[in-house]
Amino acid sequence: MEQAAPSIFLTLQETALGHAMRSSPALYPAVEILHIIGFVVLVGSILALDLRMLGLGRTIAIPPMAQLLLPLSRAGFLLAICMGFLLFSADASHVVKNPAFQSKLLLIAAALANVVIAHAGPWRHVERWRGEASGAAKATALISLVLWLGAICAGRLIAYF
Amino acid sequence: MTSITRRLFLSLAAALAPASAIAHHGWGGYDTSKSFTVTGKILKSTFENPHCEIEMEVDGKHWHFVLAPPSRMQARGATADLIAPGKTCTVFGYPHTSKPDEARIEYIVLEGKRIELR
Repeated sequence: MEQAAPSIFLTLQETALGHAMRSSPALYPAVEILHIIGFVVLVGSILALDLRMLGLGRTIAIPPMAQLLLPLSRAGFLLAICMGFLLFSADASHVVKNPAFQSKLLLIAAALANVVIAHAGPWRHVERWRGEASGAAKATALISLVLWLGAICAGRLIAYF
Repeated sequence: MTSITRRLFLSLAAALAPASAIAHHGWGGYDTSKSFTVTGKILKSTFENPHCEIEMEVDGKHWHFVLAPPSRMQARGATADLIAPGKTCTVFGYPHTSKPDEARIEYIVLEGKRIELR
């Protein structure tokens, strides 16, 4: 027998927000579009920076590149998370049990932990890198790449489980 | 379009066309080899995003049929009043591979009119 979702998720989908997300014909697709724009900006900017860290495009200096791309990735993350929460509110009690959705949350949590580790560790020595990221920084870049792309895969697969 | 890009585009479109007929959003969890057609009275319906749904009892089995998003339903003439509880309809669809009471509907027949939902 399938286990019932905790009541907090049922409560969420029965709020005015959840109702509006389901009943308005235009709201759901509009929020979906903004969700996509959010994670495209997030993962696109992170992908470019990670690839630079891993050795691509060596003529571009890492610090100014990071100066542009890190704020972009934060803005994209904020948009994707907010819009994702709205989409979730439409069908929270079912989606929370979806294995692809659960994997996606774990991948995002791991990717965020990796951000904290990267910036608390190897990124503190960014001035000493001399055009090439340190080995530890490269490792976090590779992990970042895999985790964020994995989150996109898991997100797309929610509809198939 | 130049002839080479045009040819490339056309051959790409031709290559993808048969695949697109089976591989489509949200249909992965449904068994297309077990398609079925049933007619019954609608017990419950929701005309909501992301997909409209109807519930029907057929031969003692209670079904949840997943239809299309409301905007597509509306555009193709499957309006909320046509799938309201009490209405009779025929559905052609595929059962879910792991949820035994759920099926995805390919087309629906409402008041003698066939409406494609894909």
